[in-house]
Amino acid sequence: MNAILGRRDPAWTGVLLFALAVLALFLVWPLLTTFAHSFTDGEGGLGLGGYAAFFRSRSYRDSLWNTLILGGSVTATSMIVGGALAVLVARCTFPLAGWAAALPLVTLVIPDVVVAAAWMLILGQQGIVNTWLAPTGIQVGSLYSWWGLVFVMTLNSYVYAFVMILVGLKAMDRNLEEAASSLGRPMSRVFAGVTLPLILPTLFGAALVVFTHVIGSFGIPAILGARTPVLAVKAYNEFVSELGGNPRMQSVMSTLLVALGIAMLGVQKLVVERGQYQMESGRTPAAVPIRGARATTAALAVMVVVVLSLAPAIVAVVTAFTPSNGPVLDYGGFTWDHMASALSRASRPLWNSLALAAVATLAGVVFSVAVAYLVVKRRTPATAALDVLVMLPLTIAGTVLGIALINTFNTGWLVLTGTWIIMALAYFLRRIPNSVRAAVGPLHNLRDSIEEASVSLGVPPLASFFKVVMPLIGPAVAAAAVLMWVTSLSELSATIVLYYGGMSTMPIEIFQQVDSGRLAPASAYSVILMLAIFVPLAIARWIFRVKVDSLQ
Amino acid sequence: MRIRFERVTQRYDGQPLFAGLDLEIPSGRFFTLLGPSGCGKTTLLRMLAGFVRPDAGRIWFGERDVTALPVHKRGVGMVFQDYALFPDRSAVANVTYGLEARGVAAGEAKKRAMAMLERVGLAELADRSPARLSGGQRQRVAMARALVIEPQLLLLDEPLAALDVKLRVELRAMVRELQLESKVTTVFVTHDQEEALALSDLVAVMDRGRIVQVGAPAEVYARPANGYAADFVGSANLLRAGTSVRIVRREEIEIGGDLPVAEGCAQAEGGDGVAGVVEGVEFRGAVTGYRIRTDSGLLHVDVWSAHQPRTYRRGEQVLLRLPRDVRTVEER
Repeated sequence: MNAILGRRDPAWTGVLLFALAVLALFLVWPLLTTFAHSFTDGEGGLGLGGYAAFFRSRSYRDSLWNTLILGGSVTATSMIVGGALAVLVARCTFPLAGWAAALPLVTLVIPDVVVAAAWMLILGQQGIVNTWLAPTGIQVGSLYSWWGLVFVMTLNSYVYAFVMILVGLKAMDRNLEEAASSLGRPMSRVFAGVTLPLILPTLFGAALVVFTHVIGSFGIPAILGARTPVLAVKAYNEFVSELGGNPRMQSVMSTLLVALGIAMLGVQKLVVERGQYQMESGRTPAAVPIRGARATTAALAVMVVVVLSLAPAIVAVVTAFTPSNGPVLDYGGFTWDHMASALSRASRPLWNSLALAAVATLAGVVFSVAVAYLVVKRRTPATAALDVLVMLPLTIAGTVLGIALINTFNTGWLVLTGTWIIMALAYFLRRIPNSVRAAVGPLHNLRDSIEEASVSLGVPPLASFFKVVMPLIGPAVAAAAVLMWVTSLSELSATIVLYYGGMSTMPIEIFQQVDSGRLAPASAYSVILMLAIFVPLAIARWIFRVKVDSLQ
Repeated sequence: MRIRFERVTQRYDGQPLFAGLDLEIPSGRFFTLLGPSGCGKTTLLRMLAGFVRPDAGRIWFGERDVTALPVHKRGVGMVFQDYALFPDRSAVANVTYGLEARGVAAGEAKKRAMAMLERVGLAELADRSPARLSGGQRQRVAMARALVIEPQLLLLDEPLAALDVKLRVELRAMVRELQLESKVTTVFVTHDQEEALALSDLVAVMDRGRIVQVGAPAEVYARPANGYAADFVGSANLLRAGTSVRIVRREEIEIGGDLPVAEGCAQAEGGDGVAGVVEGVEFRGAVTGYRIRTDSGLLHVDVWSAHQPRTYRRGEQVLLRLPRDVRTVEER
């Protein structure tokens, strides 16, 4: 249908061109620059020298293996924890089951740099547990090891698997299972034969999301992984190296990381989407009440997960008010010192964080809504390309994006390096995939005829969009905006590359204090950051509840 | 306002849909585009609204060439198959929407909208949201919303298709009444021949992107242009005769009953007597339908239930009397 006026509407064509230009300039170009740089031979020619050097060097090679091992093992553990929890919550009713609903919120509110710092306080060499066990002479294994890294990363990642699998299980039509049971199959065989194949694409999708998240994360591996450097951290170290790190090696590592991410996305497109079954969302399968010992076990499992997830926040709050003498903390005591000094010194980075998140969110929401609209309602080859481009940041580690941006925009006609714009730009790029997805859902449910009715009544296309479409997708967009805002507040991995004197943010401050062992001040900063995230989130939720009620 | 399609050409998914189509819709009439799905009737309607621009050719509203005029400047009222009411606005707010876009003051807009809702019999539900209205009520709001802007052209895209039979009949009377009152040129798209015949001043029968015949309902029914039109408007028996077909309406055949049939007069030639065996009986209330196998093929026969001496049974031998003056036309 090439001749539909509405789809060729000049106003929307302008929006499409603008969106493509923004992504081409700020996403594709930096990436291509990085890729191209990785294939240079040092004397201006082309070559695979960078890759040869990478695979010759043991430490580089190890960082690739470490990345894959960490990605694989954390994905496995996250799938087990998140999957088991999702099955319990979706299919059984027992005391405390409702607690699990709070888990995504908890994970959102506690930035990963705080998680890493808090687990150092709990399980570190001089941590709470070891101090407590000291009289017995037992010591828990070092946190700075594979198991420590996997343990903390799992607590930081399982919630992705949990949410995706829970949604998948709830979207299943119970008629299918009942049909299978009515044909005389025992329940266990029904699960294996009917439920599992139907949920398999969801499981696969969840695993890929966790894997991409893990290989791209920076904060936790940087703090806990001194002995097991991964690509994202190694690239950063190369970037900041006092000895003048090797820029080509940064590009090689960046390219490898992006290639891994794109490979994951490709696998998902090929395998998952092809295997996707069209499921009529019918009746949600009923949750079975369980009692006795099994209920106790289930409740206990949920409680353990919730407590472990919440522990970093609790520890951070307690530590923020605990007197310290250097690295030694005096638990049981009480002081205002850390909070007082944090409050007096944190105002600048806090303001930076809030301002950057606000700018990125504002730009991101406008951009995401426009892109989602183009992708859903104006399907052309150009908007299909836009759809792919806008999902690209999902595959790019924050560190890689930061390095690519800073190397691309430090010279030439557009210099952004050393400005706040480049930081806001990184936040913007990193968060748009999720915001676009959030807006796509309600737009799919919106019939085209509603917009057509508005235009036929005399309201021009763009005005119709604001008068008719926006109010209907508003709630979803607002939720996406809040999400974008709070995740931008805790952004560390791109910021660590991009920030400069005077533009430090809260996560940067916390990271640096943790890095230099000042855990009590870090905790005080963490408390302030968590409050800054939680308060707007709580307000938004409260407002939305009001809105929801008024609809009914 | 007189509407004209002039040499309109349009491709759809790479296939030509219209090739130089000409069509004229006289001012103030209720004009129906009738055809099966895929015949292009909705595309023609959407061209009038401005959602589809023809690849070539012109569209005229009176003396004005509107081919390139954007939708929101055309001043047409449109009623959609799914009503397309704004879900976040009350019934009356839906109706005032188009007036607001035309800069009518809020008080005046409300007054006109209420008057319009009164006319469609919904004044007392003006403040309800669409979600709390029934299908028929939503359809009335959609009609009111399209008519309140006093359009120069009213477009109806199968507006009754989603309703149940009883409501459909009731609402089509209202639609016709409103059109006659406002005298607005109206284009109605449907695949339901009964609706087309009942409502229209003029019917255009469409077949795969071509207009087969335009005429008053009675004329199209009595003198179909070809076999396709005959079958689509009021379903007919088509008796093949070379490249032509002979049209025999279902109700034109009489069943003579179980009279003994002489071997010789079992042929349809010359007109009247045809022997056959009842293959199926369908009692539809006022009318009883029969499927009767004859030497000339399967014939459908409709008989007034009250007028037949008795109901014939499956497998029974019957004698059919065909009308003498049978119309012969091209098949397609």
